Parts: sequence; C-alpha cells; structure tokens
Amino acid sequence: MRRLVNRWLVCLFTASGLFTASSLLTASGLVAAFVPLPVAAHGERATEPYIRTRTVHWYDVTWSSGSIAANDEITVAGKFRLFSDWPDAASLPDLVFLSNGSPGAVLTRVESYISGIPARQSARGLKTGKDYTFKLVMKGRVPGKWHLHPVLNVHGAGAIVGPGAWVEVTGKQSDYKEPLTTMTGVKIDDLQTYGVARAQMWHFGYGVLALLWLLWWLRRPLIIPRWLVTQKGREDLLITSTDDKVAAALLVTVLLVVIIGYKQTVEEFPNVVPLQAGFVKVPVPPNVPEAASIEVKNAEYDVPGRSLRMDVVITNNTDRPIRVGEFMTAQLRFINKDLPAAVESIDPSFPKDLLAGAGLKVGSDSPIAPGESRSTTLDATDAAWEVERLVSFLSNVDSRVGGLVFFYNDQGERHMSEISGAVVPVFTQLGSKVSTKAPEILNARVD
Amino acid sequence: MDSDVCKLRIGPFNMHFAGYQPKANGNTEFCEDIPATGNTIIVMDAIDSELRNIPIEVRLIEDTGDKSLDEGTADGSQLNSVTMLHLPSKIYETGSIPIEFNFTHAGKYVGLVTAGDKGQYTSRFPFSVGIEKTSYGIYVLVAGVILLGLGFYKYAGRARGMSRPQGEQG
Ligand SMILES: [Cu+2]
Repeated sequence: MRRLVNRWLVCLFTASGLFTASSLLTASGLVAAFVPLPVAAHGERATEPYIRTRTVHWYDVTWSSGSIAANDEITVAGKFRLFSDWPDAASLPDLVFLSNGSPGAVLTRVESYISGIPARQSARGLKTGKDYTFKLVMKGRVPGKWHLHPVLNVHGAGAIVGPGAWVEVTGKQSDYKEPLTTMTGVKIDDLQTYGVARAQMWHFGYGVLALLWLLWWLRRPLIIPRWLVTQKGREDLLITSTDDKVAAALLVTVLLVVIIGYKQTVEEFPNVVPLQAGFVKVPVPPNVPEAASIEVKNAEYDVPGRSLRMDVVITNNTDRPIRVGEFMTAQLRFINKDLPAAVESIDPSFPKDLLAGAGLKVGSDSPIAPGESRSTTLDATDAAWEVERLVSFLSNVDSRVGGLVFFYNDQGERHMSEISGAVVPVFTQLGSKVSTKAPEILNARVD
Repeated sequence: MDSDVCKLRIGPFNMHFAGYQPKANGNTEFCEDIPATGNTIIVMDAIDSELRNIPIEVRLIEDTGDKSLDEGTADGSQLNSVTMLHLPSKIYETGSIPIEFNFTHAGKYVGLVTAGDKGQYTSRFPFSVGIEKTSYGIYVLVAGVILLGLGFYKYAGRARGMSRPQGEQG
C-alpha cells in the first residue's frame, strides 16, 4: 500500500512538472502572439518576405477556367522573372522543379513546361535576371474549391509559391480516370489503382511471415531469464531442435518466395524503364535591354499607413514616351489606375485579392520622354502589406524590398524593369485623427 | 490567417488588429493589450476584401462594464459620454483603418466597429492599456521543478526505508 502511495506521489509530481512546463509554453505562446503567426491555407503567407519579394516574380499568370468538372483539364500559364537582387540567404536557382501548390492530390499535374521544354524532371541552368515562361496542365480529381498556385521549388531555397486562384472542381471523384497504354501496348484502366493490390499483397505477406517469426520467440521466457541462462553458460537450453527446424523452414520459404516472385514478375513485365533521375537543361534566354532603368533613392514603409513609399529616378531608354503602369511584388499588384493600358492588363482570371484596392500612386505621372530621367515617388498603399505578412522585411537582417515595375508607352506597349532597395520603417503622424482633448470637447464632435 | 490571435470578427468578415507605440516600442506590434499609456497607433486591416467596399465606423470607448452602451440599447448621449474617439462611417479602399490616440490613463477600453450600409455588422473588442500583466510562468516553472525534486527526495527516502525489511521477505 505504501509503495502504491509513493508511486502515486511520483506520478503526481511528474504530472505537475509537465503541467507547469506546458503552462509556461502556453504563456510564451501568448507572448509570441504579437508576432504574426505563419499560418495560411498552404503556407503562401508563411514564406519569408525576402523570398516572396526578391526571388521568383510571377507575372502574366492566367488560369484557363475557374471551374472544371472532375477529369477535365485546366491550364495555368504565365511567366516568371528570376530576380537579379536574389537574397544571399537563399540558394540561387541552379536546380529547380516546377510544380503546383494545392491541398494534396485534388488536381493532378499532367503536363508541365519551362520555356516550352517539358519539365517533368528537375531543371538546371536557370539564371537570375532572366524571364521564363511556364505552363502547367492540371486535371481535376477531387470535387471542391481549391486554391491553385504555380510553385517553383528551388533547391536550397524551398518552394517559392506563385499567385493562387480558386478553382472549383465539380462532379464526382469517380469521374476521374487516368488510363494509360504502355509502350508495349498494355492497357492500364486507371493509374490511381494500378499495382496497388500487388504492393499491398507483398507488404502484407511479408508482414505475416515476420509476425509469425516474432510470435515463435515471444511465447518463450524473455530478456531476464534468458540473460540469466547465458550468465550460467547454458545457451544450449535456449534454442531447441524444433527452433532449428522452424528457422530452416522460414529461410526456405522466404528464399522460395523471392525466387519464384522474381521469376514471375520478370515474365509478366519483360520490358521495364528505370526511374528517370536526369535533369532538363533550360537554355538561357537572350539578353533583353532594359527599356527603362529605375533607381531607388529612398524607400520607407509607413507602418500605420500600410504604405510603401519609394523615391525613384526613372530613365527612359526607349524612343517613345512611357508611364509607370504597375508595381508588383510578392504576387501583389499595385496598378496605376490613371493609366488605361495598365488597368486593361489585368486578366479577368487574375485573383481580385491580389490586386491592391487603391492601386499605385505615381507622384509625377506625366509621360517620361525618350532619354528623360525623372524623379518621382511611387506609393503602394494597402492592408495587404500586413495581411499578407510582408512587413516582417523590417525585422530581417537585410531590410530590402524588391519587385517589378511595368511601364507602358503611348502605343500601349509594355516594358518591365526590376526595382530593389533598402527600406526603413516610419511612423507617420496621422495628424487630424490625433485626439487628446477632454471628453467634453470631444463630445461636441461626436454625432 | 487561421490561427491569427489578433483577429476580429465583424459579421462574416475578419479584420486584423495591431497596436503600436512607436515612441516607446518602435515598430513592435501589440495584439489586444497595449503595454503603456501615451501616444498609440491602432491599425485594423481588412483580411476579407469585402470589407474594402462597405462603410466602416469606429468608436473607442472606455470600458464601463455596462454592455448596454455598446450594444446600441442605450440612448446616443450615454454612448457619447464614454466615447473617446469616433471615426464616422467611411469606405476604406486600402483596407486599413489607422487610429491614433493618446491614452492619458491606464485602464480598460473597448473598440466598437460597425460595418455595412445599414451598420448590420458589429464587433466589440475589449483591450487594456497600461495594465501590466506579470508573467507568472517562470515562477510556476521554478516552483514546479523544486516540488518535483522534493517529491523525488521524499519518495527515494521512503522507498529505501521500505526496501530493507521487504528485501528480506522477497
Ligand atoms: Cu493558396
């Protein structure tokens, strides 16, 4: 009885220790709650801002449809610029793999291309400062509403997620089929289930053998008695002749299963192709001269205003007048709404939540003449800086921001330039809204 | 932002709440509780884009403990008497509502957000200013560790005391 009580005591103390540890963890969790938590549908907001603003800039991304039936295809296509001011903390895109971001195998990827080259394997040879086209063909599998993104997995930098749009898959999952005819003419009805029964049979079969072998030994006295027997030098007592016979039978069974199984499999599938582990080499696109250069003189992020303000100098290197049409970073598009060509560039399939409500305010918005260098301000204001968790660039070791700026000339032609620079946080006084007056005076203002 | 703790619900929509005291704490972001009195900036950001297209009205009131005040049952003059700041109904295109206020005394406050053409969506979020919350976590942990040690010490003593007579039996 006393021993029982003692055990209880120990349990109690251990439990209380664990409890206090966990309560402390909860407390520290509450403290950490001030920091935005990296949780989103599938992590698009969790990626570090320096990755989202300064690595892969996806643009001209379109989704061929917003709703497809199960077993129907949807194409996500567009371009991406590998940013020149690629952060030191992330590996360069020497080895990449193009895929898609969606919650599990709700859509299957049937085709993928980088620069028109099939990209079912990893690709090498991509260079920063260059533009690449991409295309993903996806097939609806599980009915539901899914957020579908293009994703570039960069070896050493992780998955760099592009813009996401909601795609609805209608119909039934049973409508989804993935039939295939192999090179040797074998017709496979559905790749989803092909070979599954075979794999299960082998796993289960070997599992049964292993279990029987374990049980054979487990029914005997275990560790301590056996240890005592070996201590006394009587190992001969531990293994009987029946054990030897069972062991021999098991050995023969396993070897026969392997030999016969191998022979049958080889007869059934005489032609097999090994798993492909090579790389695709993507050719380097030709150099495109920058139509307009844009230099950041000063950039500040107004914390309460949710506003990125940049003082820039734009030099027009083309022979036609240009205007700033768009600033884009981390999939967010700030459109100069005063420029019709920029507004028209928004594809109807582009997700509305990635278009900043107030757009881009250009300080000096008149056309920049050929050869002219213009100092102006670019003002990108939106709650998305906070909601998309992009402001932690202020707490990074290199507080920089980067993005793409799109220009349009008087003929509606588009040019693109990279923009990047250091950014500092500021707190602009809200002026008119400051109120430290006594309540009586304030009451007069209240309607 | 599923597990965002600084989230406010306004009808079917969500907003993100952030408080700053730039003079005292730089760009540190606070959630529901503002650590000190003084000049404070509160920003509410629309998580759902629908909130960008509907008018939003914001009121900061002192928490008198009387809920009828902010549930709209009391007459306007009573609400006004506790109102410290009022932003009339307006559409916020950029999705964020910045508020600057100088809290002169510590205490409990309530933010009242009303959204929609008819003010059909409301949200009431209480927060405190300058009320220091001592974190007992570390003391609890230290006490827990000491208690754990004591427990083992006592147990070991008893177990040894017992093992001698029992060892002879077994
Ligand atoms: Cu998504």
